[in-house]
Amino acid sequence: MVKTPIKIRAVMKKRPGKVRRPAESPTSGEGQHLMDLDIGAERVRIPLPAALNTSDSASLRATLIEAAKKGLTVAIDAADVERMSTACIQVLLSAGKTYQDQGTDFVLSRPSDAFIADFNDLGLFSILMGWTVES
Amino acid sequence: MNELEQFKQTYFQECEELLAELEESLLALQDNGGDTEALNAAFRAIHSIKGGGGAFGFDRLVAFSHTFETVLDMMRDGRAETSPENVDLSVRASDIVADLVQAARSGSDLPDDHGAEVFAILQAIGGAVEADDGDEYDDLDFTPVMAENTGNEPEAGEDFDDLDFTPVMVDDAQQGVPVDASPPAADVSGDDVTYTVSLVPHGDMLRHGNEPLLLIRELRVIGAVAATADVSALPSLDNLVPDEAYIRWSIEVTTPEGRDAVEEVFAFVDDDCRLTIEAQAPEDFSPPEPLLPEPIPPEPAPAEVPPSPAPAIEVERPAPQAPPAAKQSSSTIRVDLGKLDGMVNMVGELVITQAMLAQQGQDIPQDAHPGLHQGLEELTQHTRELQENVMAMRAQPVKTVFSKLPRLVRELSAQTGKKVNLVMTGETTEIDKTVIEQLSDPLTHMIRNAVDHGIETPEDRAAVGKPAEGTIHVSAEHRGGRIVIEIRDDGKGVDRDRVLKKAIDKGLVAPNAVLSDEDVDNLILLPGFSTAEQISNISGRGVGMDVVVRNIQNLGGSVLIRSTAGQGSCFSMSLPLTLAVLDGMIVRAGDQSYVLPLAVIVESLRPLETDIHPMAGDDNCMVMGIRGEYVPLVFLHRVFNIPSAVPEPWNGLVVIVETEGGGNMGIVVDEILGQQQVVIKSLEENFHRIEGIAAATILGSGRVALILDVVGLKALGQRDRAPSQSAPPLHRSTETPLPAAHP
Repeated sequence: MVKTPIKIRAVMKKRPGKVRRPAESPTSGEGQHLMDLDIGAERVRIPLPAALNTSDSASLRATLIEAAKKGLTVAIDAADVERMSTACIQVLLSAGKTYQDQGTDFVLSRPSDAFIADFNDLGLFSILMGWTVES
Repeated sequence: MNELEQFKQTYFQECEELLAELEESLLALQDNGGDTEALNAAFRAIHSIKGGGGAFGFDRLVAFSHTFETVLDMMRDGRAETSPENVDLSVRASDIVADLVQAARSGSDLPDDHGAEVFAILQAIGGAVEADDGDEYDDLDFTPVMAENTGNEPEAGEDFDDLDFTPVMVDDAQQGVPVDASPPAADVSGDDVTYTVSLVPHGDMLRHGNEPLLLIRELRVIGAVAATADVSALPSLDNLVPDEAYIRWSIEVTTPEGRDAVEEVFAFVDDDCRLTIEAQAPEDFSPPEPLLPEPIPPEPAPAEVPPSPAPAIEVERPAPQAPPAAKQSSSTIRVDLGKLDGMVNMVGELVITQAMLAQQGQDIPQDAHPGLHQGLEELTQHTRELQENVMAMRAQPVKTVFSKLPRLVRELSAQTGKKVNLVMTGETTEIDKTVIEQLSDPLTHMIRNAVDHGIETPEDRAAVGKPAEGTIHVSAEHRGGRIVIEIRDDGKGVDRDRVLKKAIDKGLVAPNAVLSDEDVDNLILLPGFSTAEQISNISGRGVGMDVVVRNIQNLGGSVLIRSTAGQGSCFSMSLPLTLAVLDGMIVRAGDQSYVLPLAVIVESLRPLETDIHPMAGDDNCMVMGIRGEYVPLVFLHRVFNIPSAVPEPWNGLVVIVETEGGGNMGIVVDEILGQQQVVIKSLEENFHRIEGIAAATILGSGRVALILDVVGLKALGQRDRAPSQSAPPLHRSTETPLPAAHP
């Protein structure tokens, strides 16, 4: 009998649990800390993180407002996005609309597959089509 | 003609599905007479049965179905009332149809007056309406066989008004995307229904952690989904409250799972939104608003969702990902089970070969052949995935077996004069098709038992303060890597005195034997046992139960009875999920290898000598103390008579496993060799059943190992501990070597 290295594993029995929804803490208000802004000569780039939870929505909003003040083209870099909460998607949508109203140039840069899938699943793909998207 | 036979077989298979659907729809109608969908589904089912039957010349079936269908049609358009009496009549009619189908299938003849009473009533309601409406044989692809005495002539001009096509305007934007734009056609099984879900979140919804994105994705699991968002309420960035919900959705989901499945997705968010779910009846089906390709240019306001390009894209995108919404037949394919079995078998062999390769690979130094090792690793992953996919193909929901039960309960109810309500849960639980096929008989038998012996007559029930109607609850669920099917009744429970007496009389048990309550209950499962005073034609012949148990055991399963006098009984069947593959832990006792299913292992450890105690001063019966509890021990070497094994737990290992009825058990082995996925080879097929052994397998090393059956081991262990047997006491000194154990 060939002996293989032994790992004595305690196998944990998983009890099916109730589905628990995490309660996100409410966030809103002024003085939100901003996300990183990459300010170049012609554009200010906002690199979106991999995860945009509901709790990030206030920060995202403040960042988008701040970015527009620079007077440059705002580039929302979505290359790293892996999942987005509906709250943050709303913020982005609102930003798109506001920028268009204000006349701020903006572009959606390198949206990841997950980003597109999130928009699509929520029935928002058509709005994405109305934006300037660069890959 | 061979081809004709093939078509016939296909027809009968479809009839099975149609009959199940008919039954389900009528049950739904019994619960809610206003359920138009159920009525439509019932009509479609009987219509299809009739159509096919006509093609093969099953005259009686056609005649009866036609009259039945007429009445259903009248109920659909209000010419007849969907009263409880009419629904009950329909239920009885569906039973007759099932009998006629069965007779046609087996080529036998039913007595001339079979179903005559029901037929007469149906005719009276239908006013002997002849097939003037021209929708007779329009479902058929081939010329109907002219049957002399049906009296139903096909019309010359065949109409297609029953085919439920609603023409859809196609324009460039849609580019001929058929999937979500056309209504689900009334196909043979007619399962898919489209629901429109309107989701209007309350402002707080997102703050409460509810994610519309996840909800929509959950819907995708049950069917094809197209979502439309209304962002008109979204304010500008300055005015936006970041975690407030502004968007509302209209979501079309097309699913065969029924309304309940859709509702379940939103079960936790009811309070956080305004939710409406509306089903769309196929006859009225017009493509939902957003999908209607209106030639309107996109509206200038950027906040609005432009209707024209939007639907095209939304329709196209879900199509490749989600299962197609249209005809069921295009998304499934009938495969001969033998072919599938062949494939499963080959995959099993592949797993064994891969395990052997992996084993060989361990002897080759990694550095010298890194590519080889990587290849072997990938092979392992791919093999596992292939196996999971193949096993998934054979998995079917238990529903197919459960669907026969309501009728059975109805018949038994009528025969015994007892009122019984059948509740079924867990019908979507999936198991291997072969296991399902074996379930039918045991379930039937146990239900019969429950009605015959368990549930009391209404008078008796009233006398002890129970509601006149008894309840039988059948459930299926996955538990501990197995499927557990339980049949609970709220009847009078097992009459232990009577059972024990009968068992003693029949010599099945020694007169002075001391048995626990559970043991007495399970005496019923022994061959030759029956306590029915009159052997009714339902049960009580005494040959049933043990055959049932044996069939289940042949599958590697077990049966357990638990009962509380006066309150009811619970018959519990435990079966493996699949008969092909198992994740196992390889253990050794002496020179023998065994496999323990990983799913039942709780933990393993080497106890101290001081942890091991005899029970009640009897060295035969040992328990191990662990974290304040005591776990009974089973010694493999004793149970299986292995001379070379290590007899003392503190010099070997104890593997703690879960047992069926709850509670743990410790199996004493020499050592654990490792974890492996093994292919199950049945002993019953190749040899015969052995208690304590579930099956056999071939390890990566090429040697045969036996797969242990925990339930059987427990029984063997208990017998081993019985006072009549004696084993030499464990030698507690660690210095002197032990003589070979002689069980």
